Amino acid sequence: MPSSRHPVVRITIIDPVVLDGQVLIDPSPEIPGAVIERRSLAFGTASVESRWDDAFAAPGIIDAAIRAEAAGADAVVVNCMEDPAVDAAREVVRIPVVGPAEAGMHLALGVADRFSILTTEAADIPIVREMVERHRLEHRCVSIRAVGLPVLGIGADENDTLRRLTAAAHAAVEDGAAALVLGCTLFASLTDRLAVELPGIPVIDPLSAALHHALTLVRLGVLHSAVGYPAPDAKPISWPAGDVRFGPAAAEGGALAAGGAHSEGSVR
Amino acid sequence: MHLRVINPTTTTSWVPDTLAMFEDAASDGTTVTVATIAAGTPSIESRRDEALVTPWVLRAAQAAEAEGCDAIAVDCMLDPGVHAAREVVGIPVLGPCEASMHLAATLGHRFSVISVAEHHRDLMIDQARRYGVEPRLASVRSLQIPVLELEDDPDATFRTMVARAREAVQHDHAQAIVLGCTGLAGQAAQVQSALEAEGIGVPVIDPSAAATRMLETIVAMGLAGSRVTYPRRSGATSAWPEPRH
Repeated sequence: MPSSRHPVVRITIIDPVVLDGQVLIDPSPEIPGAVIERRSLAFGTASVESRWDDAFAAPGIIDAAIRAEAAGADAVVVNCMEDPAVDAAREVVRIPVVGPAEAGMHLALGVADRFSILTTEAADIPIVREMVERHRLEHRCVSIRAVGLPVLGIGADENDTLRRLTAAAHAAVEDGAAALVLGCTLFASLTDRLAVELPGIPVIDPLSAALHHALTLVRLGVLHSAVGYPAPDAKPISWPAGDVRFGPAAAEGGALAAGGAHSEGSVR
Repeated sequence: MHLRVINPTTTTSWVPDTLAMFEDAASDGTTVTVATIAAGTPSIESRRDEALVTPWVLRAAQAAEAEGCDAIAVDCMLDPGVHAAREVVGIPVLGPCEASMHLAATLGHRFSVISVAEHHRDLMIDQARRYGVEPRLASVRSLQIPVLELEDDPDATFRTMVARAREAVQHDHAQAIVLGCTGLAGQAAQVQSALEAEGIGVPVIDPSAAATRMLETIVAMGLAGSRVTYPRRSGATSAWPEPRH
């Protein structure tokens, strides 16, 4: 075997939540050829499972993506199946920004013609459907099934979560699913046990899909289109905390230090 | 992992370049081998050609599995035999078109394919429809150079690729470019740099590299083709000519 032909790829997982004493229940997947770092948010919500949560997570995700790029990351993955602020972050960094939903759905279509998504609560279904439609994949997504657990309840009783996932998976197969995309990155640790229940049906852990996709983009030397995601022009932004980064590195002249070079209430 | 690349043409002079291109994207620990089909056409530029090579691609896929390979890539943008092979072999099988179109869809709202001949446009549109990404396909622009003449004047081929990619961005609103023939593979980075130098920042995707990495991902995640989409078949034939050795 030849010695390493490729430099190690540094991927930052952005956990789009405020941990505030919460312990991350999902370990970082092992991706050969990559080292994985994690960042959570200084401001936002405890979980992301609504449009409201998305809205409050987005500013912190943009800030975290800019910091990850400045710290030398080769790519970032936003660890949530709603792909919150992925588009916005792409406008301000020139490293790949990968969403697990986007990566997971396109991987599913590499092994099957139709997929279903297994999400957390029924209330989340319309949000997932909007996400699928934004990617124009509605004709390939046969159903979105909910397991009936809130995000913060997933880790409480693993066996109960697996039973609920298995029931939702069988219902999805009845709907015509040929592959399953897990609809919350916190389901990841149950992927293998669920797959055993469903022989012949690929079960996709979206966080692993996203990390592999990030590695692929770095390896191929491609990232999101500058034409499709043009950098916003520099302008004053009013924000009540001083130590935040919302502008692309070029617009900030690379001068904004992590310690907060701008006075409170006035960042770019 | 052992990746078997099937050269779905009878042209063996491409094999060293094909091997180099797949190896370039492969991870440490991935071994790449190339097998050329036993019979068929010297290039694939029509539905007729595709029909004639596909049975031999399937034979090569069966052989790859029997030899203990872990994954199969079929090196042509028509992905000949890929879906039929999934019915009979158990290891992942993928084509560069499927891999690169899904990759392109994650990099911009709309992508264009730079194909070789004008009449390939409909073939590429069919591919996008088959893979579910037709709403994301901005256009297919062609070099209008026959496949077997791509290497006659490499500089002219390269300039034409850059020109077609530029037109796709400026006139068709493409935000990402897929090189639409595996005979063009290995030049994605240079085309991307040439466009960048003109102030056009779009990713340019090498389909062979995309297939390599998507297969590595599928294998690493323990996935394979869905048995719902691709029910297991025996692979039997009642009469088929054996290749002459």
